[in-house]
Amino acid sequence: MFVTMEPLFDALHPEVARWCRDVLKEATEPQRAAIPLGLERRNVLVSSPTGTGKTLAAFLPVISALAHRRDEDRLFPRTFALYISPLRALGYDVEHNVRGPLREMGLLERPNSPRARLRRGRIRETHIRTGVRTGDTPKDERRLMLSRPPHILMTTPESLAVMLAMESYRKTLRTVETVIVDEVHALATNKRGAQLALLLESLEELAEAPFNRIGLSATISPLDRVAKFLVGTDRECEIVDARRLRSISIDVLAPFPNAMAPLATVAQAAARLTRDERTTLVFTNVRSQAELIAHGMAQILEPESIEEVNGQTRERQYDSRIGVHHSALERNVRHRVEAALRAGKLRTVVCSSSLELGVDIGFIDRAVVIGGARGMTPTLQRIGRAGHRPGAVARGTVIAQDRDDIIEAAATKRCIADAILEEAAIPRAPLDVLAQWLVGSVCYDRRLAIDDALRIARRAYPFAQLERGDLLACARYLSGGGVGEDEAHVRRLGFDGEALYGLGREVCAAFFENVGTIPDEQHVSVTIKGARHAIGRVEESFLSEIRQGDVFVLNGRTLRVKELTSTGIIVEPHAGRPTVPQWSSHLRGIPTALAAEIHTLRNGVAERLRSDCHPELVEGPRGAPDRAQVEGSAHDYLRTRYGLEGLEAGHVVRYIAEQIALSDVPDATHPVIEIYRIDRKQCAVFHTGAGRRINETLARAIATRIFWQIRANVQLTTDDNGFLLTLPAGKSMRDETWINMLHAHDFEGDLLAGLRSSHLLRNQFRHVANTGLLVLRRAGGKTLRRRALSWNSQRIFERIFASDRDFPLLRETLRTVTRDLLDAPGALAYLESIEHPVRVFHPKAATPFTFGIITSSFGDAVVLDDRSSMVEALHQRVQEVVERRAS
Amino acid sequence: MLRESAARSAQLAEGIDAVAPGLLWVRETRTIVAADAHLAYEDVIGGALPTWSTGDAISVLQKAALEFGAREFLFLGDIIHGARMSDGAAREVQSGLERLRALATVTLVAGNHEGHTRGADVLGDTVEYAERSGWLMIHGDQPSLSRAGVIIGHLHPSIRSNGTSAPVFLAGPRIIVVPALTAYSEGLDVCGDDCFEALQAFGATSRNELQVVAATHDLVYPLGTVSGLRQELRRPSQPPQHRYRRKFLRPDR
Repeated sequence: MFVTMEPLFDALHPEVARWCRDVLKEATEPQRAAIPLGLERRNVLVSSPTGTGKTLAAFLPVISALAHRRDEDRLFPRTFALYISPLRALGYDVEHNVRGPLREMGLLERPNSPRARLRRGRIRETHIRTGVRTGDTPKDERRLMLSRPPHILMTTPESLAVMLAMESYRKTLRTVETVIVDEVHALATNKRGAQLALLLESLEELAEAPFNRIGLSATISPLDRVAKFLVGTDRECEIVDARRLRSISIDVLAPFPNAMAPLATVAQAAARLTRDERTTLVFTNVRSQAELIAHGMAQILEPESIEEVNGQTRERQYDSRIGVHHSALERNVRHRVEAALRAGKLRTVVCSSSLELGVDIGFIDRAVVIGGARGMTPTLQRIGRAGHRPGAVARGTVIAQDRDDIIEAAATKRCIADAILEEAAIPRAPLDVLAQWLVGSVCYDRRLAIDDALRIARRAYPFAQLERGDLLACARYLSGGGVGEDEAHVRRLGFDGEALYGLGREVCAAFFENVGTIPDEQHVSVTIKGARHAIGRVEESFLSEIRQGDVFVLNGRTLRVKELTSTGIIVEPHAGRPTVPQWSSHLRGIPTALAAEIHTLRNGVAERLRSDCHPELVEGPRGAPDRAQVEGSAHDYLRTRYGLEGLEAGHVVRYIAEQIALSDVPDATHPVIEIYRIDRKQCAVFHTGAGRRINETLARAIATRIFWQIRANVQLTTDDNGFLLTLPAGKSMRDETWINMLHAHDFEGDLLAGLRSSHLLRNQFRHVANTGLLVLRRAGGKTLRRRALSWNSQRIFERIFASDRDFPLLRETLRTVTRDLLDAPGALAYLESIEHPVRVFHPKAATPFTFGIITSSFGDAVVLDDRSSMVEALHQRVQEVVERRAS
Repeated sequence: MLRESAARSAQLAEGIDAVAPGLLWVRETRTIVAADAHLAYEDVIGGALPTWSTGDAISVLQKAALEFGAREFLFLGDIIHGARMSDGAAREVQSGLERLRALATVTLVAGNHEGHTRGADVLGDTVEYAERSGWLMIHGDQPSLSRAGVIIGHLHPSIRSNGTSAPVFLAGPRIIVVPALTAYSEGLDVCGDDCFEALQAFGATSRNELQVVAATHDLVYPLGTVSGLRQELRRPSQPPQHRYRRKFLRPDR
């Protein structure tokens, strides 16, 4: 028998160790570090890229401990290990991956096998059972799970909340010894994570003995904070940092001669890259783009797949090797694509961020990221998908769509090399989550003293700073007191001043039906005329944007709207260009650290170009410093600091030279304001370079200030580099007035005034009210659809705002909006750091830095391809102005 | 211009005045008409909230009754937001109505929100229509066959501008629409086509003959005709959505 010199496995149960020696042969780095810690039942956080064997690192000690239990005849029908993942699909996937080894070790109990039937009802068991309990689990399976609880139970935070509220499940969970939390990075930064942190503390109260927690995370930073999130405030946690196990190579490709590449060119470039590879993953930032790119690639790589009969395209009968995967697709379609990818049947899969998370997809040769992943961690995750095998080099290419993308990719590379990752911001004491947890904690008729609730909640890291007053406010609200002296008639729990208590089965139904913190996005199905099953779904808001006869792309097919019904869209396959852009564009903002690096890059190049900066620089006339020499130093800078060379570096230098020629490059304390007149409307672009969240915050506050000044509403558009404010026709402001808008005095007040009637606040209040069980999403077994759910979040918000500013869910809404979605403290700090005088320009043509923001100010009405031709036209104009000046 | 024309009340027809904050005053019978109060709204939507809507509406009516010396309160339908509500909320609605009865007679015309039980559990007896000063008073969810003038609610007429909305009265030669008393409704834009389409079922023939009077919490503002307002707000005509019409012509359950 083949025996390695891996002493690590010796510590495991002999049967488990044998399997490890036979199958694994050698342990990976995270396994080497984490398995001994797991065997000692210590808390541990493992952070490493996907494909480094961290799931097994977490499960091997668990399986080993269960095997020992069996040997000692102590394997009772109870749950001993809990695996929690944010994705239901991942639960099934991991169960599949754990059952394989268990079967090979001879430890697995097969459901309903004669052996299992023989053992049924006995107290001690001989084989290990696994099970998945999610919202999808059928009722009879759940019932079976109660009579014969799985020893290893896979679940989601929401299902855990339900189980912890039900007495029947609580009995089976008392024996939990290990909790494995997968994809910690996807939980730590949001309210689901805050909910999970509270639930784990509830479980800690319930468990007979303290359990150990194993966190598995893809790349995330800072690890010590995330470890605290995992284990709570008063426990120790070991950290296994294996984030840089595999070398990652990132290339940047700019397939355009001037300023921006049309989507067809991008698809061509992607097709060229995939041609020589066995399997490629192509990531896009927007779901709709995934569809369009897949369509474009199919036209190049598989022209035979598009069939035209009598001038009309017919549905593809051809077995395409290009797949599309994004969250708007039906689940079975997604599963088919995943399976085909695993089996090597697909050559290319174009996806949005849906394949970033850990669903197993087999071996990938190359990852292509279109337009940049907008952050270091997403870049590492996307490119880390390639070479999905320990030790293999992950190769990735970023296809830049415009010159901003080149800069972003270069800055991302630099940040990764410097080990600067986005800082995981853990929400601080979200009161809506607290309210929901309180209701769950007293179901159906349990009692929970306020002091105990505070003690338990404070052990959870997100609630470490929870104040007693906030907890009491939540308790009062839930018990019906809530606001002023009025009494709400709908109560979620009882409160006698000292303890909270449940109000019985009927009231608790509200909790069970509405558990969770994920906002409900309403979707409608898309069905091909005559077909029985839907081919995908789109958000309900998209329905209001389209009309009969419109053409759009879904699941790689071009479809024409045949009929709009109340339940969905009936379509027919169609040839030709889409007439509408897709449903909402889920563009992410870039992290602050990356925005700062982009800032550094721009200023680094600008400084080298500016040494004697004139518009002539671009054309290099007599008397000016030698163009080649100046540009040479900029090229050197880009090569040495960012590894950017050739065509791509040339693009960047030209980009910044054009900007300097027409206006200037902003630095950390000196914003640049450019004032234009577009369609007879005055508009100002504020270049700050502070990142999207800060820009959005600044834009909203400044829009309010302008409203007070000119008594008219301002249109605002933001992006990562700055924001654009457009005054209504006939209104204008002087330069000094624009500059005066940038002051820190009463910033929060202006921001709040601007937010009062905004959709942002209204939608957020809707979500907070749902999570905090103020208004329910589901009642009486029915989901209330948005239209049927006729409650006016704006008016209720205003009513509460007028009556009680201290209402917990109102404060939570404002906190989420100003701290999590926007960045009010960051924006205020930026305003305070500004050094006057602020520079104001009136450029003759839109400067290159404004291209992105000007094209996006037209909203999604500009189809992606039109956007590229628009940018090209703007670029043409810049060149004309620069040339005229030079001559 | 608006400020100058603002007043505490404005006459919509002979003996019928629009009064802030959205009530109708029938001089002959000394009746205060309120439409679409949607009492206990917070409770009916299942919200763990105090039922502000009840207290707010009742106090508005009490204040108006004392100011005008009213003899009668007439609710023009949709008195409550839904027939299913908690016992506490029902008690609150009932005690509110009792407070009003202490001041004057209360007449309840049922609307579509009262459902097929016509709100009997909470409201007690209701009527399907009433007649005051020669005007037929109905909720307005059914078309009227009456040749006399008709006063309706149901539509929640409002004007919209810059993302905000304000309740308005609409008054034609044979129709008066009373705005909703509830604060929870954005309302139906009177400049839109859906609103006019609905009014055609009550005999309205032209936007030129429909006067708009906006109501704030203490004053009313005559704003001219709907067509004038449409021009002023420069709202291009949009094809009707047919959504309202379908709902409107649905037979009552």
